Amino acid sequence: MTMWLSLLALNYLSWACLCLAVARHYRQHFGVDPSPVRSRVLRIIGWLTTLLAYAISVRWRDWDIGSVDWCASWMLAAIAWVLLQPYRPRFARWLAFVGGAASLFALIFYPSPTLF
Amino acid sequence: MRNTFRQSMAWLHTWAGLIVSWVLFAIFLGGTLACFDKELDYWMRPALHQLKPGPPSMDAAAKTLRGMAPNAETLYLRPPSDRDPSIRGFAFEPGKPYIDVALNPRDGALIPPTVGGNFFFVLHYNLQAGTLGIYLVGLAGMLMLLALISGVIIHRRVFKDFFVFRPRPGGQRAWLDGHNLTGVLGLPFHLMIAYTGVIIMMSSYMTAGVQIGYRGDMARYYEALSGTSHAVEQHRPPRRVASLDKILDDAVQRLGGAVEYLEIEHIHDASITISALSAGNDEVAGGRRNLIYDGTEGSFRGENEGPPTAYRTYQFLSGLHRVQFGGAAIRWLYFLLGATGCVMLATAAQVWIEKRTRQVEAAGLRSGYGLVRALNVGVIAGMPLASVSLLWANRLLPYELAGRAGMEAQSFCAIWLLATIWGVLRLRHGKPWRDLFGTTAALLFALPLMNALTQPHSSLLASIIARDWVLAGIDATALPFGLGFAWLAWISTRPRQLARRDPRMAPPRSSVARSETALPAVETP
Repeated sequence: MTMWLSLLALNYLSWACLCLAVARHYRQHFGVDPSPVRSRVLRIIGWLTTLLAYAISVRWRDWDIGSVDWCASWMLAAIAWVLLQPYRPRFARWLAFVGGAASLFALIFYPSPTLF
Repeated sequence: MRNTFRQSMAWLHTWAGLIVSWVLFAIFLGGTLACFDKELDYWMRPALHQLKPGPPSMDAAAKTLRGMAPNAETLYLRPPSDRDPSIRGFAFEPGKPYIDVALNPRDGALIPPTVGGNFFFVLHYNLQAGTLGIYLVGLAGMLMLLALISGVIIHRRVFKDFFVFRPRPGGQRAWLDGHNLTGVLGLPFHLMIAYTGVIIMMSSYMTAGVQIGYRGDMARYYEALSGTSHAVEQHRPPRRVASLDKILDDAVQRLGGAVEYLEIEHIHDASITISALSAGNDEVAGGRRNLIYDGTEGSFRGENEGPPTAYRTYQFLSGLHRVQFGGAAIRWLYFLLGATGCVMLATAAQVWIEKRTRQVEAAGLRSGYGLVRALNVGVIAGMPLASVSLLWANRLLPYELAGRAGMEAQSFCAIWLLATIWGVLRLRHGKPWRDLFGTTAALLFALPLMNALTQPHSSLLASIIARDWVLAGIDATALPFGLGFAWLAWISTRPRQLARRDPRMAPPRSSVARSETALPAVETP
């Protein structure tokens, strides 16, 4: 269960960053254009978190099932972010931040396979 | 009108999509529900909810099954699992209907029949229409692949609009955004599910290989594929039959995991052989190991050589589709992704109508447009209602009734038909979508209550106390879905936006006018 939530949360965080790296969406959220540096940082964080999610899902359940786990949670996280952000932009961002932080915390402090 | 490649693809997407959209919706919804077919099987058999803990008695189950099919050569028994505690028995006697029963795992007694969650599974792969249905589903799957690929081609802004969803009420924009969103973000899943879905039945769709290589002998073809061998008959009855329970225990130990099936071959002959097929739920491709036991002594004879690589590839592709691996969590993901597929199809049908509002209004209901609207409401709003009604019928029909399973299926069809008729009658004056979605929501909300009243031991509260999460899960899932349908009913109550009557917003006939509005991401043919 923890593993599932972490996977979903990391992928969700990844999509949130990738989306906010796009000027058009950044403007919708914050009213101003992002600086090029900020845009690039967001994009890098976005790709890194989803890579991290893929790495842990493969480590957790091997290449075949791990890939399916990652791919399915990746798609659902994208749909969740895109559906949430026009209605509740602040909550959507908050969820990405808190979810990402919580799953990183869980991964660092409880990396035991039994939890997963 | 179709000068460019993109325009012809738009034409293909529109029409290839439209003609199969309703049957695809039925297949998608059936498949989505069939993610939990065994769980629904369990829910629909209250006789299983009060089981005392203990080991399963495969021998008693085999005895019951033999009594039901005395002339069958081969029996299959599926031992209890976390998802379904019953023992399932399958047997086939020449010239008689296929036997598929659930048996009490303690004493092997027959459990009152129901169509179970299996109903949705069968609906998913053949629309309950036998071989013809398999071909129809295959055709729909292939057209879906076409629609997916042409959809990507005509979507001019796949990456630009990747995160865009503009949920302003009314108008085709929100519907189109919804369709693009579920289509694009779920694309890997949709492509995978359509492709592997067609592949599962490939030997029915592409028969040339079997015709040439095996002279049309399907049995020999499957034997060569699966790499199993069969014992030679000795034409004398067996002295005795070994204990299946001991064999099951032994097989579970040797495999280090669950057994999916026990197969009892040549049951009337001294060459009786029992094989145990591993479930292999830790792999996408599923079980490859097959343990062979002597049917008279119960001694372990050896392990079949695993299937050849070609068949393993097939197993991987079909395993990806059938999602028997990886536990409940991944079935939930498939379930949710399947639901987004349903949304993709439902919004597609709505986009088609919204794009043609003017023509639809001008042509009236007795026209092709009217037919499309009728099918939309009948299938998209009618089928969820019929599906919930199946669960209701399961609890409300008396358990002693003869032919009960058939009556459940009939009530599903009858409710669907009634819902469609109601929807069509209300199309002219009224809000058919609100009526049907609202009824579905009410039935879903009341499902736990009705369950508690008819089967007090199986109620949501009782199953939570008993920590029976499979049982509790079905009742608990009905509630959020009830909320979802209530929301759908609510948005179909809102007055239709008249903004599109504005001449500037009217659906233009030429593509020049469309590029000026710059909003729709998909071209109309």
